Formats: sequence, structure tokens, C-alpha cells
Amino acid sequence: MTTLRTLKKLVLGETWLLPLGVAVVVLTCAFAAEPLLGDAWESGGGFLLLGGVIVVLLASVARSARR
Amino acid sequence: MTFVLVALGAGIAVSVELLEAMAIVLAVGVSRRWSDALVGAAAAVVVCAVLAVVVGPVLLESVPLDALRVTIGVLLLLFGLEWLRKGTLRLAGRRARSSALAEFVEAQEALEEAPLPPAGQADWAGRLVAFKGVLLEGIEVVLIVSALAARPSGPAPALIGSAIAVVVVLSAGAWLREPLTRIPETELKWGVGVLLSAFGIFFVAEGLGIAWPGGDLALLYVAAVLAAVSQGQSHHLARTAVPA
Repeated sequence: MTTLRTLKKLVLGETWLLPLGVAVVVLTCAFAAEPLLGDAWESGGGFLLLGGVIVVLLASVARSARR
Repeated sequence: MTFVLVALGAGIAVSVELLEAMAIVLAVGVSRRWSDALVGAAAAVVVCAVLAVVVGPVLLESVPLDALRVTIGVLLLLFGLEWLRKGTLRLAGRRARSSALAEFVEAQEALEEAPLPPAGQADWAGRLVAFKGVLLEGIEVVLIVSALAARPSGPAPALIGSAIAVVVVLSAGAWLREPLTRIPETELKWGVGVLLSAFGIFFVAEGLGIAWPGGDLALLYVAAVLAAVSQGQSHHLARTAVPA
């Protein structure tokens, strides 16, 4: 159990918010944003991904700071 | 340019992790016996080497190119964002600053209650502390370097950066105790967090078929945006009262 906990902390970090947030952002980009944006995806998709990651980072830092 | 940035990212990440591992081995060596500290550390290095030999080739051979880019990117994002989250909190004064010296003291304290066996007998407590310390930091190094080395353009930059870091940190080992207090670990780790997160976003985007304006230059402006956002939030938190 301790080994599993250590492994989880090593790969996923100390919070669930970051790995969950990253998963939501990447999956949303891959399966929702790409078909919706069409041709604009190739040139603008990176900034959408960057924006999503920034929101996840800001939320996880704010949550940790409140504790 | 990507070559230099990958080498730099791998080099700094490996340096920071090695410093922490070395602090633990030094603590065991100074407070117990050097032979047991080195046996514990060597055993952990062997485990990490086996892991490195398995992880890299498996990533390269079993995953298609675009999926590989997304996998590498997500791995780097997980590491980078975690370092960046902690770095932002540390810079804002909301979390204790990172310190290899603290690891040194903690390792010494952990061994205080275990009596040192007589000469000629193995000191399993000392070996275990050295093994565990090196193993945990080493696994992180293996995962980060494997992810950076598994890029389609080849493993050279990540391996060169890591090799330079190993030489520099091990050379510093002889006079490490005193300078440990002067290394700005918090800022270094924050910088690695920015770099790894930027690489992560860049690779995930490439794997999803995105062409970044400016090509590889995107790494620089993505890193700059992440650094600015993190610094902004850190300053905001530093000015805000800590919740009761």
C-alpha cells in the first residue's frame, strides 16, 4: 500500500486536480475541439491547449494555497 | 534550438534530483558508515538502470509516433505542472522552500534511533535509508529523461544534458555540505517546472496535429507565458493574507 501511494505521488503528484485537469484538457482538445475548429485547429489549437493547461495550473495552485 | 532546450531541461532536472539523492547518501555516510551508504545507493542505481533500459525502448517501439508524442507530452506535463505548482507556492511563501540540506538533516534524524552495528556487520538501517532516497529520486530522473529521450528526433540532447548534470553534481559531492545551503533550489525547480510544462504542451500539440506558429520557437513563447502566469499568481498570493 505504501509502495502504491509512493508510486502514485511520484507519477501523478500530490493532488488529483492536476492529473484530472490535464486529462480533461487533452481529451477535450483531441475529441471535441479538433472536430469543432476544423482548419483553424492546426494553427490555433496549440493556444487552446496552452489556455486549458494554464487554467488547470491556476486552479490547482489556488486550491493548494487555500489549504 | 530544441536540442539546447531539451539538454538544458534534462540537465537541470537531473541535477536537482541528484542533489537531493546525494544529500541523503551524504547524511548516511557522515552519520553512519560510508561503505553502507554506498552499498544502499549502488543497489538503487542498479534498479534505476534496469528501469531505464526497460522504459525507453518500450516507449519507442510499442507506441505509434503521434500517440508517442501525446504520451511523452502528458508525462512531461504531469511532472512539470507539479513542480510548477509547488514552485509557485514556495515563491509566494505558502510552502517551505525546497532544500537538499533539509533532506540531509531529515535522513540523519531518521537514523538517530537505530543503533550502529559493530564493525564487520551490515548496517541495514543505513543501507535502507540510502537505497530508498536514491531510488525515489532516481525513478523520477528515469521517467523525465526517458520521456525527453523518446522524442522522434532522438535521445542525444536528453542524454548529453543528463550526463553533464551527473558529472557536475558528482564532482560537487566532495565539497557539497557547505554549498548546499547556497543553492537556490526553489528557483531551479520552478525553472524546471516551466521548461518541462512547456515541452509537455509542445509535444501534446504536435501529437494532436497542431503546427505551432514559429515552429520550435513556440517552446520559448509557451515557456514565457507559463513563467509569467506562475509569477503573477505567486505575487498575488504573496500579497494575499494566508487563510486562517
